[in-house]
Amino acid sequence: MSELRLSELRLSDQAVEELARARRWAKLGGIVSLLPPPVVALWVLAPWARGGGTLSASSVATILSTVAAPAIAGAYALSYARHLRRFSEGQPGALATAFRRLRGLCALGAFALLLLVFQLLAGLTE
Amino acid sequence: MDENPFAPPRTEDLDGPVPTGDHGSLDDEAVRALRAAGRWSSLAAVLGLGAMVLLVVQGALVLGHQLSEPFARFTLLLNAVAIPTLGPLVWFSQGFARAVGGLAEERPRAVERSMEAQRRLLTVYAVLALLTSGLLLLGLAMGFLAARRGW
Repeated sequence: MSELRLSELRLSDQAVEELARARRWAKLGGIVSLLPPPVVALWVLAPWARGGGTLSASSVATILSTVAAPAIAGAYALSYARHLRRFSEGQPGALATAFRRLRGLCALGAFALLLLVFQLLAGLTE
Repeated sequence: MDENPFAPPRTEDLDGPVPTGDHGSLDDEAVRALRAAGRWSSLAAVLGLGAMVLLVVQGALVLGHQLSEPFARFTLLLNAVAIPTLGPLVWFSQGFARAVGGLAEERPRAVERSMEAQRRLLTVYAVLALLTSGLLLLGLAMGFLAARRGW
């Protein structure tokens, strides 16, 4: 990237303020996303453990969609928030890591929506 | 900024550099990661739009009685929740992708717009997480109560 480009892509007060707000929302979203997975896992796995170890395909799908996906999204969001905090504490390299976590969060969202599209298409073509 | 009009002129030699509110620049790696996030976000917006269209088609089919009757009400209820939920997600994902695209095109205030769009996208994520987690936990609690009381 040229010197001219670098001089243009500078972080102003407004940009840093927006990042601070984004950090707060990501932290809230991350914590909230991590709340249901253990409850759902207990709900699904407790009857399975009592019943002697047969887990149906629908239970696996429920675990993946309601336990794994929100848990991964929550972990990414909290990691994003943590790296933005490090950036605000004076570690410039943490910003790139935070944006990589954001990239992961967006990729996970795209993957979840792709699954939804496939699921809907399968339902419509049945 | 309120300054004393009778104050002597500032010089960088004596007073140091004038504060500009600048917090450094975005390094190449950060810009690359941000642009990659924008591409994924754009893909998510397209897929979300596709899902909304499919949900509308599914709803129309249910209303046309092409699906089994007991399943119809639940499907319609689910679609009525999912379509308005996906709407803001699609809108703000596309907004973020467009704002980040402005970094490459060197649009004015592209960095500020990118960070603002990023904050909006994360706000939508947090609100949706609150709603879905709340509904999920409420559903589980109701299911638990119903199972205990033998409903």
